Amino acid sequence: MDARADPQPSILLIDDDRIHARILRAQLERGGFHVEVAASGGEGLALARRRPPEVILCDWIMEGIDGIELCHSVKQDERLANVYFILLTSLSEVHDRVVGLDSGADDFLTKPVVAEELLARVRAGLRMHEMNERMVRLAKELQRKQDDLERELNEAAAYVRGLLPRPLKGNVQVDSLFLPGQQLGGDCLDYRWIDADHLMFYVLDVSGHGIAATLPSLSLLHRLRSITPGDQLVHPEQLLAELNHDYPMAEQGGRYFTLWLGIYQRSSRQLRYATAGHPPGLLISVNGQQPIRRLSSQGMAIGLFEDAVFHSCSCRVDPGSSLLLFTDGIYENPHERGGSLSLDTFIESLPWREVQFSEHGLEKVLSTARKSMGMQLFGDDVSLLRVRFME
Amino acid sequence: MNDTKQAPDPCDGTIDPTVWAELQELMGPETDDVLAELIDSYLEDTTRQLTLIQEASRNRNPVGLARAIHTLRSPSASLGALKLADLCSDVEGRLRGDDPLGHWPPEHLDTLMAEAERAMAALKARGSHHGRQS
Repeated sequence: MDARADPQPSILLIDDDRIHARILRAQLERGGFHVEVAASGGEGLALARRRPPEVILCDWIMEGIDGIELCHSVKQDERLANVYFILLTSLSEVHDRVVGLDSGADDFLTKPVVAEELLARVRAGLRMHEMNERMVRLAKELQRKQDDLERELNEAAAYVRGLLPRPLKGNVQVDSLFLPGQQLGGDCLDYRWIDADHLMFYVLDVSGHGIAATLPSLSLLHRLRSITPGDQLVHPEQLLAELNHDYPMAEQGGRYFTLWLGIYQRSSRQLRYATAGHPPGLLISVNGQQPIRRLSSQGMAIGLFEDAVFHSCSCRVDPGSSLLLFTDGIYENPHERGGSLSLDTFIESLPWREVQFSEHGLEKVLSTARKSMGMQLFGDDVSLLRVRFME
Repeated sequence: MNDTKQAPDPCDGTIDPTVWAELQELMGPETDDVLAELIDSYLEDTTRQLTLIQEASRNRNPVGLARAIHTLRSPSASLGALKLADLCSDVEGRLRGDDPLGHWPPEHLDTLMAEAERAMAALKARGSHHGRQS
């Protein structure tokens, strides 16, 4: 990385003493540099702006714009801020150097200038300049990649959102809310009537973040959409076991997922559900002694262990009850700032009347959690799914 | 390149031989052209500064006089006219002191002017050795 390897490193020399300038120029040219000379601060600044040099050598004391003032202007100029600025001075007082450094000068050269020192300092300046330029290039590249990534994540989030179902009306009403996190968190949810009697609904959360977590969640969405009426409607735990077999962690880039899946049979008012390492579903009944019941069955996250066993539970659902499903993004904050809530605190702070009765119950859950955690943005995806059993 | 050193110098002592030798060495293969150019510039600038010095002296203008002398100092030092450069520092110092008009024209101004003439003559002589007629 010898600076002199560059065919024409360009130096701008600004000195109102033309004899001195001519001598320095001759020395620099002998050192292999391309030199432009300006006879005043004003001319120097104009030249620098027209064609930014790599190094500026500038006399301190000049008529009009002096070296300090010029240095300040150069360092303020975004396009010139990286130019290596050497002040030529016959003053060697500490105070003067402080003034020079404060104005942004990178180095000093004391007059009378010794040729070897001049060339050595210019070479050092060129190395610094090259390093700075490389840093700027890297920073720009990084920013561009960051922007690309953000755009891709936004596009992916919009895609996922587009796949999510519309609210269901009728005697069993279902709605949902999907809020992608800053990095996309691999959440997914779905609900649909599989036949006239069976409503299937679930919320899942793939481990990890970003596009890599979103792809498996989309694959799961399509897989679960292909389910047709059959045994699985009676035994959701079998479905989980099948998924566990089909999505081993080793084949999913080390990713596993948690799931809460329920199948509601309208004719019998029975809800059968199976969970895999997922937070419980919350059943809110109108007149019950326990207004909120946690629904959870035993089961590890899917993909972790080949021989994992899954279970299902069932319960009768009273008319007027509501069921709330969610992913952990609603109460856990993966980032340092803002506190996470415990599951208990989250459940205690739930606006459960709104969940049960309000059209905007899910938005209310979101705003309550946001307030409790003391932050504006959720780091992880937040998914909420609500089933209201009206009949 | 060395024939310059051997040539008779009508104003020995006016131009410091060490500075001059360094200049010649530094300029490399283009020495003659560059030195001739430097001498041309120096003669032109010094003639102008000497006129300004005379004017300022006549008009009893210490600020103008100090500025002209200051301007003369640095190029003189660059080309080896060290005696002249020292005189410039000395007279400029007196002019920037208290009551510059108390002793007018300032002490050593005549010596400075005479030395400047000698430096110009010496450089002119060297210039003719460097291939270009100044």
